[in-house]
Amino acid sequence: MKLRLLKEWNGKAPGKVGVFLSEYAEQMIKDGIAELLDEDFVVEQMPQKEETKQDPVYIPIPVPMSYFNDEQEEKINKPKNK
Amino acid sequence: MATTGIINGTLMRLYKDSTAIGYATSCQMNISAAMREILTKDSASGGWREVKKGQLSGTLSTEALYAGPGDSSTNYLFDDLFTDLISGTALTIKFTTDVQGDNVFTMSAICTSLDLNAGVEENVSYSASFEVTGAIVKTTKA
Repeated sequence: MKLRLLKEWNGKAPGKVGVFLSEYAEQMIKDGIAELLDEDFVVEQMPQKEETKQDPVYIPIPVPMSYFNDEQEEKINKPKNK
Repeated sequence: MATTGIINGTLMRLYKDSTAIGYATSCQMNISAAMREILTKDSASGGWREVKKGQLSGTLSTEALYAGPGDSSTNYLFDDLFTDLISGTALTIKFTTDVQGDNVFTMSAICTSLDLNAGVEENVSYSASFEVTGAIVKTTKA
């Protein structure tokens, strides 16, 4: 349960917000120490980390000139689709 | 009503007494049984190791984002754990979803380490480790 303190509690100032086990939270509300903010709340909002996408890394691989010649020939000889 | 199916890990968290350990990103509980060797010359296991259960032990750990005294939260934070580690106080810890019908693991544990990490352009975060003293009791939340 998410509560907001109405009175000082365990050295924490009124107005501070926290997550408590439900039984204990109910007692705190009954005692007037805190007010209910969200009954089903379990996890507080955490600062989100910005997702960064890494640029692809191209590593040049040395190849013989004949590699490019063969590639070109293939394109020339490729039959055209009709 | 108890949670059906696989439980979402986000909902299961560590509580000190009844206060959540704040800004946690992960929580772990480890329970282990030490083994004592009982192999003797009279054993019929053909030289294979034989063991029986020895001491039971448990540890807890959590990773969390760091917030200092200026934070507007009543949750249990790094500063509180720092005080506990220095004093060696045994804390009552519960590991639960706080959902009716789900398990509640209750134990007494001492904070044994705190690691505070501050990377450039990163959230300040910390990890805390606890050693369980005594038994870990499993109950169902009424």
